[in-house]
Amino acid sequence: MDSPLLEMKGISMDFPGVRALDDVDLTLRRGEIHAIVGENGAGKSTLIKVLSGVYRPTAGKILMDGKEVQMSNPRHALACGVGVVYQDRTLVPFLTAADNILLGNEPARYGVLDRRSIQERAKKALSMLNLSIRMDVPVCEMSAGDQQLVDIAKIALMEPRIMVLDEPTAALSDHETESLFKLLHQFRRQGVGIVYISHHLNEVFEMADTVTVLRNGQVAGCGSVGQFTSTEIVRLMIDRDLGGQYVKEAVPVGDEVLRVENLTCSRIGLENISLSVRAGEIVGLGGLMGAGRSELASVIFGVARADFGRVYVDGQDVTPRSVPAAIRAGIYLVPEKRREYGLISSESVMANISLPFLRDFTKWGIVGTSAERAPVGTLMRDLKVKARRATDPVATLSGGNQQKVVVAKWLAKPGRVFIFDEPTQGIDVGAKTEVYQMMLNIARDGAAVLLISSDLPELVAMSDRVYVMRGGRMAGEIEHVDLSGEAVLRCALGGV
Amino acid sequence: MDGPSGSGTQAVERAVGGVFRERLTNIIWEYGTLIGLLVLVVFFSTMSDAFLRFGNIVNILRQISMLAIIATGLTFCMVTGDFDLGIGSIGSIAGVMTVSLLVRGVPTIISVLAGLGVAALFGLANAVLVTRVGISSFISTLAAGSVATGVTFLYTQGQAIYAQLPPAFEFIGRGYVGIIPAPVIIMALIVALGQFVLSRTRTGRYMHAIGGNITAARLSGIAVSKYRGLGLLFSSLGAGAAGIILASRLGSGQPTAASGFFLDAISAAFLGQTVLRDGRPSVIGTFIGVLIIGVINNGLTLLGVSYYWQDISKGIIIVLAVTLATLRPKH
Repeated sequence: MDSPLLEMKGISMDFPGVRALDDVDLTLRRGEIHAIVGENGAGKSTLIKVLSGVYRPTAGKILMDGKEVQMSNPRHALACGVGVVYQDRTLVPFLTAADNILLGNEPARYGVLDRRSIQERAKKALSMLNLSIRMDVPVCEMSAGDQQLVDIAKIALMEPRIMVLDEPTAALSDHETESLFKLLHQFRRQGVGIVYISHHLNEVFEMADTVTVLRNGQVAGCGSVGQFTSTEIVRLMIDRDLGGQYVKEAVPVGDEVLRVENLTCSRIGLENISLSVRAGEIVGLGGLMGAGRSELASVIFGVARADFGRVYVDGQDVTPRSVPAAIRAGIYLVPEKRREYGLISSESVMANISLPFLRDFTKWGIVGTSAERAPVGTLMRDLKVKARRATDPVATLSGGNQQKVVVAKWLAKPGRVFIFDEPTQGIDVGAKTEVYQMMLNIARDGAAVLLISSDLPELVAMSDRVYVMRGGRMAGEIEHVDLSGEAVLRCALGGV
Repeated sequence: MDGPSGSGTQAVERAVGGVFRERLTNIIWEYGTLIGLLVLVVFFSTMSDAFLRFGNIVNILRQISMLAIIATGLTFCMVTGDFDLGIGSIGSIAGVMTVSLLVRGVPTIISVLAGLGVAALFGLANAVLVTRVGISSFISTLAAGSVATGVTFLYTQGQAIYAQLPPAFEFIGRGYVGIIPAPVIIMALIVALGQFVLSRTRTGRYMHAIGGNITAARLSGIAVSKYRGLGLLFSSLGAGAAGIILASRLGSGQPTAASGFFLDAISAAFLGQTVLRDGRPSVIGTFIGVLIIGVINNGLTLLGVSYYWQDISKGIIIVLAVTLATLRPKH
C-alpha cells in the first residue's frame, strides 16, 4: 500500500505562555475530504499555519508521500503542493478576477503584461472549474461568494495536491455553497486531498469523508464521518477539564439593572436583541466568532448607534448615543483584544488607569499630582497590578497585569453595568483567577455583569445563566439548571 | 562570549569592561540626540571663536524663535497623530493680514488678534474636515495651505506690503527687554506653556492618549474629535504667531515670508521625536530639534559655508538621527 498524501506527525506548537498545538497527528489520503472541527481557539488555524509554512512547529514532522518536508514559508508550501484558501480573502480589491487569479504568474513580454493572454488563461481556468464569473470587473464589486470562488480558482490554477479551506462557507449564500461543494467534489475526483475547516456540522456530515476533532490543541477524536453522530462530535469539542481556576460563589440577586429591548443595528448585523441582567448576576453571552456578541456590546456601550431598540439601566431609558453618555449611565466596557482596544501602550500604567475618569483625578486640570497618584496606587495595590512604578509604560507589563489595568480603569467610579469581552484571553492561570475574582466583587457590589467569552468552560463556570447569539440574533437563553458547554455549543452551532 | 576564557582576573576585567561598555552604549542610545547637539556645539566653537560669544548666542536664539513657535504648534497636532502641511502658508497669511490692517491704521493689538484669528480659521476648518468629514489631516492641511497661499497672493497681488509700522508692532520682532530680544521671550513663554500643557494637564494627557491608541481613547470615553481638533487649531495658531513675529522683523507683509519655516519645522519635530526614548513627540524634544537646526544654520554661516550646504547637512543629520532612533533598542 502506498504512503498517504500527507502525514502530520506529533505536531506541537508553543507560543510564549501557551501551547497551541500538542502532539497533533493528521493523515490525508488522495481524494479525501478531511474536516477539522473544534471550538474557537482549539488550534485549527494554528494547525493550518503550520501546514502552510507560516509557523514552524516546535516539534513534529510533516511527510508528503512518505517523504519528510520542511515548509519554510507559504510560497514554499505552495511549491510543495499545499494551497490554502484563507478565511480573510487575499484578493487585491481593485484588480479584476482575471488579474487576481494570475497574480504573481502573469504572462508578460519584456515586463509588459500581455492582457489578452491573461484573459484567456483565466477564462480557461474558470471554465475548467465550471465557474461562470465575470472577468472584467474589479473583485471589490463582486459578491462575497464570487470573491471566495475567485480565491479558490486562484489556488486551483496552481494545481495543488492538497487544498486547505478555512471556513469557506462563512460568507456564502446557500446557492453559492452548493457550487462550492460541486467544485470540491470535482477536486476530489482528481485526487486532490482537501482539508476542510468548518463550524457547520451539517456541512461536515454532508461533505467530508473523515473528521478530526481538536480540543485545546489536542486531537480529541478522529475517524470516518459515519462513525460519529453530531452529538458525539459536540461532546468531543468541549473541554471537560474544569480545574480549580474558576472562582464562583452565589451572590444575592437583586432587581433588574440592565434591560436591552429589541436592539437592531443593521450596519453591524444585529437584529432584534433583547436581554436582561439583574443586580449581582453574572450573565454569559455565548456564540461562535462572528455571532455579533462584541457588536452587541459596542451598541450597548454607545460606540455604534442602534437603528431602533432601547437600553435601560435601573429602569431608566439610557439608550446611549455616545461612549461618554454610556459611561455617565454607568455602563462600562472591558473590551476584547486589550492591546488594540483597551490600552494606550505608549502611556504609563497610571495614565491608563486614570483615563476614563481623569476629571476626578485632577485639580485645576493638572495631572500627575497626589490627587492622581494616591488613588491609582490604591487601585494597583487592590488589584495586585505588578509594575515597578506607576509611571512605567504599560507595554512593559505582562499580559495578565495589562488586563488588570484595563479592568482597574473602570473601578475608580462605581458602575451599574460591566461588560467583559473575552477578559481572560491570552493571560496566565493566576491572572485569570484574579480577573474572575474582580468580576465576582463587582457583582457582589450590586452591579450587573455581562460576560462575553469564547472559552466555554469559563462561560459555564462563571455565568448564572447564558444567552447564546448566532448570526446577529439571539439564538437562545440557557438557565442555570440546564447550563452546560454542550447546551451552549449546540445552541451556538444551530441546526444540529 | 566565544573563545576559551582566560585567567580569573582577565575575565573580571573583561566583565567590568563589558558592563562599562554596555552602560556607555545605553547612554548614547538614551541621550543620542542631545549628545549630537553637544557635538555640534563643540565642533562649531572650536572652528569659530565667534560661535560661543554672548552676542552670537543671543543671535541664535533670536533666529530660532519663530521656528520654535511654529514647531511647538506642529508638535501638538503630531501628538494626537495628525500632521499639518499648511503651517508655512498659514504663517504667511497671518503676517500679511496683520500688516495690511496696520497699514490702514488699525491698532496693533487688534491687527495682531486678527492675524491670529485668520490662522485660527484655517485651523478650525482643518479640525472640521478631519474630525467631522473624516479626511486625513495630510490632505486637509495640504489643501488649507494651498488655499491660504492663493488668498494671500490674490489679496497682495504678489507684492509685499510696506509702510511705516507702529512702534508697538515693531517691538514684537525687534524689541528688547533688557538684553533679551522680545521674540526670544515670546518663544520662551510659548515653549514653556506648550511643554506644561502637553505634559502636565488633562488636555495634554488626552492628546497623548489619542495619539497612542485612538480606539482605546474613544472606548475610554474621551471626546476624541475635540482634542484632535484642538491639536490642529494649536498648530495653526503657532504658525500664525510665528508669521506675525516674522512680519514685524521684516517690517512688511510678504506673501511667502513664512513658507521657508515649513521644512525646518517638520525637521525639528521629527528630530524632537528622537530625543525621548519612547519616540513620542514632545515640546521639549521639538525645542532641542529646533536648537540643532539653529546651531547648524548659524555655525555653517559663521564658517562661511554656502547656504546650499546648510540644506544638505540638515537633510543628512535628520536621516542620521532618525536612523539611530529606529535602531535604538526598545526597553
